[in-house]
Amino acid sequence: MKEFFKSIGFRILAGLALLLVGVMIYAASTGGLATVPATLGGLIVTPVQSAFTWVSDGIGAIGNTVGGAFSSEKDEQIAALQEEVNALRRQLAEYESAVAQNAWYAEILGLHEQHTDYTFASGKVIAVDPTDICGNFTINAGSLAGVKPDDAVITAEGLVGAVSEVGLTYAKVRTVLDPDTKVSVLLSRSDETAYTGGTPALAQDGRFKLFYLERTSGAAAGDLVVTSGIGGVFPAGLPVGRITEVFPDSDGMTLTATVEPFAPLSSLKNVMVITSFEGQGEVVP
Amino acid sequence: MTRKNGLGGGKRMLSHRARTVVGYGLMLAMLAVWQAAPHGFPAIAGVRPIPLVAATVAVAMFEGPLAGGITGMAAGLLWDIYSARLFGFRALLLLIAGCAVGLLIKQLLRNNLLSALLLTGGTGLALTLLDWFFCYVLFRQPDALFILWRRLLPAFLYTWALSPLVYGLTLAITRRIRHSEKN
Repeated sequence: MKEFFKSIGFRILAGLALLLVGVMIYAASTGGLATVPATLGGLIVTPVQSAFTWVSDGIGAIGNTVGGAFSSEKDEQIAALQEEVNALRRQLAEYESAVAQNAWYAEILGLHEQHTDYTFASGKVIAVDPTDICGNFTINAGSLAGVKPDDAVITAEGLVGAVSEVGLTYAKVRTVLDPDTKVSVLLSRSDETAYTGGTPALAQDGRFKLFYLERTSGAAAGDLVVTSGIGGVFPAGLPVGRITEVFPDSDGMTLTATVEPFAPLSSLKNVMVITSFEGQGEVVP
Repeated sequence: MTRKNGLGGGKRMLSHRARTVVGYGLMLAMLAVWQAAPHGFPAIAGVRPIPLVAATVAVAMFEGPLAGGITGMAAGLLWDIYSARLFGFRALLLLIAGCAVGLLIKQLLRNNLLSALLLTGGTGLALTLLDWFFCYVLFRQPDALFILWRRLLPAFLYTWALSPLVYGLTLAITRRIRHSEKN
């Protein structure tokens, strides 16, 4: 054991450990931009990850056709018919894929028509962290596509979250379920403003909280929640979710509400990043 | 003549290293991509495994503390690229884990499936508790115990259950590398 601690191998590992500590300090100071090593790693890994995700997404559809491929070859007629069935199944898989793609393009077009001032970047969900409970994910669009830290990430249904870190070819997205995502929102019925904030226990159920609602606000289950636009980070009026429960805080002065987001956070495949919009960066009084 | 043999030995060493790096590198890359893919490993009650931890332990068992540490660092960096944690955090933890496992096999334990289970269990549990402490307890994150109980420990148990497969895969790659060396 002592020999190892005196060896060159140990010195190499100690040097690498020190280098990693330096990288961590550097990473903590970049403010939402990926570090150079992470960006370089991402440049190599992201295309592979995108390809693997594309394949794994398609496996379900293709899987149906594989089952029939190993049938008995005793009877030529059965084999020929089986081949025909397989070809039809492949066509069906391609058709289903095209329909899904078409639906996604329709969503993008709809969003463009609704919000002509928005500039979008489209991204596919390519990676998740198995230890993350809040559904945070990585998309295959980065600063090369115009994505910046804090950009809003949406689907046609509503707000998904915000960009937390950007590399050249990828961006990490923090969902509204994450405790670190703070979005200024408005209750559509009462115009009351509040801030979102998740907790891991609620994130497990796919919900998040609204904090510090006035006791007199009249917030109730079923109320719609939209972005307020205050702060100029997110555009105003983006649908966020619907209140499921309202309860008083322990101090008795304010209310807390739980909200179910409109965007299907557990089954996302494609998202849109709003890279610019009218009023971006302007603080609304 | 001696000089010629020396050059041949150097070439053989280089070729062995290249084969080792390519073999284990491809395994790590494949596991990293599979681990991070949204529809990669099947989720059990929303929990997915972390095969990169099992791979680090297995490679360290076959290749010793230096290669184990370097493998751990590479695995950690691949994990960190798509993780919300500080870049380099998991790489540092896995570097230390890989080195420790390599030393334990060199000094105390035999290299077999039972040791692999024991070491993956110990390493996985230690990494889970360190990750939990540094990322949730230290920063007073809400529901820290809930996260440990409902996400981190189940992910560790899933990884542990998967470790014999990763050990088998690493064994197959090691045999292949050594077999090609003999030929």
